[in-house]
Amino acid sequence: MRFAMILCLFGCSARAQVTDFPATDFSRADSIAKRYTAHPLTDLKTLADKLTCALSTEQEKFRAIYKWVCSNIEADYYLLTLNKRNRTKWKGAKLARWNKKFNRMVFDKLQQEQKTVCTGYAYLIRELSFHAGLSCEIVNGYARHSGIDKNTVGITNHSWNVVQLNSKWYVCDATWSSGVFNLDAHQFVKKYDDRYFLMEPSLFSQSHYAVNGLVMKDR
Amino acid sequence: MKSKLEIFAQGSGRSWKTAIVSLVILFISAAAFAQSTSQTIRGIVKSAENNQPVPGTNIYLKSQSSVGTFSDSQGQFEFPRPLKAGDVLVFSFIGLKTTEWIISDQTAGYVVIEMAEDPIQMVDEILTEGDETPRVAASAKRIRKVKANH
Repeated sequence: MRFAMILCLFGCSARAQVTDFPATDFSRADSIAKRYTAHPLTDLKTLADKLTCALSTEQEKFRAIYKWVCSNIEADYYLLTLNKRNRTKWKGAKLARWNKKFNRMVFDKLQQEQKTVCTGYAYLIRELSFHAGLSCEIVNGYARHSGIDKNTVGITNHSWNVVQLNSKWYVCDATWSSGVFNLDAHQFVKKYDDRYFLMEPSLFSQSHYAVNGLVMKDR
Repeated sequence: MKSKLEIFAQGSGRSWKTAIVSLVILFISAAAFAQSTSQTIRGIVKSAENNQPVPGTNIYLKSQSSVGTFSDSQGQFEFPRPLKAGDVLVFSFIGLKTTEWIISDQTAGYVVIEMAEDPIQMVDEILTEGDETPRVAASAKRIRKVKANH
């Protein structure tokens, strides 16, 4: 199944991208996402229903989810640096214990402050999509950009999503679409970047490398 | 000697009694059959990690997601519609692995649902101001090259 999905992603859907939907006007989905700004995350099913029930196509439903997540969730620099430090420092059982502890921290922060690390973005996209009846998975791998810390090369550092729309698989990165971190002000700057929404796979793969083509399959 | 009419009335009375008894038996059987194929599901949602109740879990019918309920402050729930074998309930709570639970003929009226923590591995790489992805960097390089050539 996993292998089939990868083949599907990099084979049949090699050119699956947002331009597949030239007739779709995403403004309605965007305005629905805006209507539910700051909606609590205590109940993801209800949020998914609110975002998608008035939309008829799969691409619009996914757009509303994606836009909501990118516009309402902030990256948390404290969590990010803490995790990065411990993941490079520890191995084996100690690392496993840390991962478990850190997961709880991330979910608490996500619920209470709507802040997270990048897997938190990918998690929300996956869960909201599931409740909206869309097939969506988290992909873990390596991200590449000019500011990457060379000491962390070789350690999985990023998560993004693949989503199936009208029987084709598409890639997207909600973390990088949501904004950038200002290191001087120690603040996350929300700045929606549409380029990573259903990006053309050949472009996407220039900065995103999946670990062994791994698609996390939890259900 | 009874008239033909009296005999008919007597016979007819017996027929009615038989018919009523048959109908009652039929209704009881139908009710019993309905009970065996469809039942009210109550239960509790617990964390698989620490066995503690999970309040606020969204529980809904997969085939008709508008039908659902939440677990209460003690993790208890009663699904608002009788369920039959083959129905699938979805249990969802942030941070816990979304669980699908299929009703079978053997399902008891009271169930215990254990939800495990979501095993995803948290990793993180955000862009900071000024960072360029290879695509953007390549474009900038091309622009510089074009400018240099003119």
